[in-house]
Amino acid sequence: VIRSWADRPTMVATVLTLAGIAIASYLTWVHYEGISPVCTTGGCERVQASTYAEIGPIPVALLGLIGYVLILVSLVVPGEIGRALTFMLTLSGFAFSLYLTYLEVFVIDALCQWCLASAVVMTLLFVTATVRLLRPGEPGPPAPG
Amino acid sequence: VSASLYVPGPMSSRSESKKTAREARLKAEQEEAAKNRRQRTWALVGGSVLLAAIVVVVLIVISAGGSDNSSESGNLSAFEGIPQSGIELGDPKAPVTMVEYADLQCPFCRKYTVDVLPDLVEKYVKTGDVRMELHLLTFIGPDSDKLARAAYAAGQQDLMWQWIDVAYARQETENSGYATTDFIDSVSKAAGANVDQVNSDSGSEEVTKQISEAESSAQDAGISSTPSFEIGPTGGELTKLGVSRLETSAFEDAIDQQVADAKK
Repeated sequence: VIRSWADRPTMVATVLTLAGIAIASYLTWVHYEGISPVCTTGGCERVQASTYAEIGPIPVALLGLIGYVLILVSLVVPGEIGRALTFMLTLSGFAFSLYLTYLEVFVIDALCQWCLASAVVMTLLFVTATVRLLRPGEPGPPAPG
Repeated sequence: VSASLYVPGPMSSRSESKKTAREARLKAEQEEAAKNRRQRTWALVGGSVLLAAIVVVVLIVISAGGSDNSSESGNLSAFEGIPQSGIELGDPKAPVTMVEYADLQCPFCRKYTVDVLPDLVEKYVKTGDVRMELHLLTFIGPDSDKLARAAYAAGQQDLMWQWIDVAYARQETENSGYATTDFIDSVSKAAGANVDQVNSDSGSEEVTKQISEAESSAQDAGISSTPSFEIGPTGGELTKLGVSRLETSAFEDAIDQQVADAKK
């Protein structure tokens, strides 16, 4: 059973998701503590203080954390449905990351390295999930018969 | 001659032809199954894309809907008809004093001024319950000093609060060098101040004194970040006002309490 889902794309996706969880956890913590994230790009606080840092009552950082956790859960859902679920979640995450990066560059006019790191992780996750869905499992289960 | 090899002739036995038929059928079935699998996968891809599109559109609509309530021209009407003198806003005889320490380049100071200050002014300053003071710190960088000087200079025209309101509305990234003379002039103009007077007063001794006073009183109060707040009875001892979030509701309880105590 382990072998059937622990193929290479799944392993790559798991590692990426854990990285995403780490980044989003840090940003969520920073948000609720009201402290400034470690920042080399100079714009983290500006991004964090912008109106776009929250969606309704939910901080975007927390939304990201929830998203990554859902992706991690979807990775253990077996079969094609599971792979499609991961694909759907990472596609959503990828598209939303694009929107957030657009906001940083053109609207907020400041870059936050942690947000960019998450966007990169999400992009790689989306690519991996796509490969995983369309070309499932390298060794694959032996054909019946 | 060779063509005869491909024609099932009387030579091929019955069982052989049966086998061929079975293989062909099996092959067709496998192809059919593979085709179904492919169709299923593409249906899942299509469904996933549709679902993802819905999720993202909903998120973006909510995100864009929570738009900033600041415009390039600030929120000047909030200060209309309220007495103002130098760094002070509100009735000098108001029973409660609330002090803010801020740096005009600090994004969270901007957030407070845009999201919270107008509400507090409406609810507590207009009613004569609270008077406010604004002490400008300059720790972020050289632009903080330029901006603070111009704001204090506008205070000499009793327009400091309008000035900082516009300056925050147009705030750019810290230390990006945005506080040019043109920027400062345009803020002064939008705030309704005499532009030349602001420029000449920015370098005055009085303004320099205000800057160093703000710094020393922040040190005395143990202020290490901006925005920071103090509150207490007017003329009495002020205490730190800690807030968990820069939202109006986070300030109201503490201010209500102070106003109630002061009115006893």
